[in-house]
Amino acid sequence: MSINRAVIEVESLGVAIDGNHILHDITFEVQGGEFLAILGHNGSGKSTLIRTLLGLQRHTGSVSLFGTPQNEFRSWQRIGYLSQDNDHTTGVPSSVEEVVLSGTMAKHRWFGWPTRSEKHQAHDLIERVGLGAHIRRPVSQLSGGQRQRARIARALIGAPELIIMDEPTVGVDAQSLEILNQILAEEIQRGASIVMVTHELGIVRNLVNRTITLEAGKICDTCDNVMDLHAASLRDHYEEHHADSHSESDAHHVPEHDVRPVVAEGPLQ
Amino acid sequence: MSILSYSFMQMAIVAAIVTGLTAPAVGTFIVQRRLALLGDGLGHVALTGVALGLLTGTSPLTTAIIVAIVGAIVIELLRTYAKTSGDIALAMLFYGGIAGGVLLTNLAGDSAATLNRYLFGSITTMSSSDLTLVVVLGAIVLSVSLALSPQFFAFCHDENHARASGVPTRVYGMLIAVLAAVTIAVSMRTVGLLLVSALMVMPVAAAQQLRPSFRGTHMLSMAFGLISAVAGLLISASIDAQPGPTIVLVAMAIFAAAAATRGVVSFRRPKEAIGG
Repeated sequence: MSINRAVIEVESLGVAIDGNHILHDITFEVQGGEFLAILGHNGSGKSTLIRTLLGLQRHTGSVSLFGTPQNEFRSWQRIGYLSQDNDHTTGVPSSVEEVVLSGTMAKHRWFGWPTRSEKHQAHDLIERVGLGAHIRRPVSQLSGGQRQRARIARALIGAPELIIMDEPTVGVDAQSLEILNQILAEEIQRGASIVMVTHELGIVRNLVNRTITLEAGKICDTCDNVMDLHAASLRDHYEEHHADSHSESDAHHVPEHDVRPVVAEGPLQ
Repeated sequence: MSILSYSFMQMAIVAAIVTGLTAPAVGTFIVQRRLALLGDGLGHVALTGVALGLLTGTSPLTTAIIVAIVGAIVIELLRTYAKTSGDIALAMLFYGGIAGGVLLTNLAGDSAATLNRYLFGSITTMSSSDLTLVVVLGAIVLSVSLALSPQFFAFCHDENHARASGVPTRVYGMLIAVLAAVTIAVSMRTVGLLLVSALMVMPVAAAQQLRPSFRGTHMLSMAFGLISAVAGLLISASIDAQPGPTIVLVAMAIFAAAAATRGVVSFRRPKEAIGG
C-alpha cells in the first residue's frame, strides 16, 4: 500500500464537451491513505472530474495515477470505482453475487473467470455490506440502498488501493449510510485512499481529511486538515468564501445543504 | 420411411441445433444491453447480402455473413462515434437493408418472392458446404460467447463501470454485434432472417421468468432455444410448412408456459419483504 505518496496528481486539467467548458485549470493531488471529498452543487463539474480521473473523458492538462500518466496506466485493479446508480430493473436478471464479481473484471479484462478466492472475497464483502441474505437475489428486486451496497462491494473487491466514489449517499437509506460509513472507516484503516464526490459530507464527515469545492468547473475552495478545524471556523471559512462567490455570480450560488454537514454543531471528529 | 432418414432433414436438424444454441447464447447479451431489436436490424442487412449473392452468383450464405458483419460494425461505430442513438441506428439498418435486398434481387433478375425462403427459412435449400460453414461458425460463436461470458456480462450490465475498470468496452461492443451478425446469417436457412431475432430474444425472455441470475438465464435460454428450434423444425416438416414460423411459435409457447409457471409460483409464495 502506497502510504503518503501521491496516488492522484492532477495539473491544469480542463474538459470541454461539445464546445462547453466543463472544467477549467483544475490542479490537486491525493496522497496515499488520504480521504478527499469533492464538494459542489449540481452542474459544478464534480462527476465530470471523477470520469476524467478514470479516463472516461477526454481532457487537457495532465492526470497521473500512482505516478503513471493516465494514458499509460493499466493497473485498473488498483482502483475501485463506485459509479452512480443506473437503472438495472430491466434486461436480464443479475444476482448480487454476479454484480459484485463483475468487479474482478479489472483483473480479467481480456479473458478469465473469477477465481475461487475472488468468489470467497465477494461472499465476504456481500456479508460486510449486509446483503448475505440476498446473495442470489436479482439486484433489480433490491431497494435503492441495497443496490448501492452491492455496488460498494463491487468497488471493494480486490482490495483496491484507491477508491473513487460518485455520489454514494444519494437516495440511500439510513442503514445503508451507516454501513457505508463503517466500510469506509475499515478501508481507511487498511490504508486505502478515498476520493468521494458528494453534495454533502453527511455521515462520513468524521472520516474526511480534506475537501475541495468546485463551482462552475473551477476549484473555488480547498479545505485542508478538516479534522483539526472546529465547526465555527469552518462556518466562517465557508461564509467568507460564499460571500466572495456571491459577489462574482449569483448563478453559481452554493446551496446551503452543500456545506451544512461540515458546519454541524460542535467540533468535527 | 421416416422423414428423419432424409439427408436434407438430418442436415436441417444439425443446423437447427446450432441455431437453437447460438441465437440465445448471443441474444442474452443483446437483451441485457437493451438492444433486443438489433437482431431484426441485422437480419434486414443480411437480406442485402443474400441479394448480393444472387446478383453475383456466389453463395448467398457467404455474402450474407460478410454484409451482416459489415452492418454490425457500422451500427456500433454509429452508436459509439456518431452520437446516433441506438434506435435511430437500428432504423437505418432496417430501411437500408430491406431496400438494398429488394433492389439487388430485382437487378439479379429475380422477384422479391425469391427472398421468401431466406426470410422465413427453408430446410430443403441447404447444401453440405452450407452446413459445414454453419457448424464451424456456430461453434466459434458459441465458444466465444461462453468463454467471454464474465467480460460480456460486466460490459452489458454496467458499461460505465466496465470502462472505468479498464475493460475494453468498444472491443466487446463490436464483438457482440459481430457475433450477432454471424448468428443471424447462419440461422437464415432454419428460422429465416426476419424471424431469427425472435429466437435471440424469446428464449431469453422465457428463461428470465424462471431464473434470478444472469448465468442461470443464459444457460436456460440456450436449452429453450434448442427445444424451440428442433421441435419447430420437426413440426414444420410434418405439416409441410416453412420452419421459421413454427420455431417462433414454439418459442412463444415456451415463454407462455414459463410466464404462467412464474405466476403460479409467485401466487403460492408471497413476496419476501425487502428491507431497506
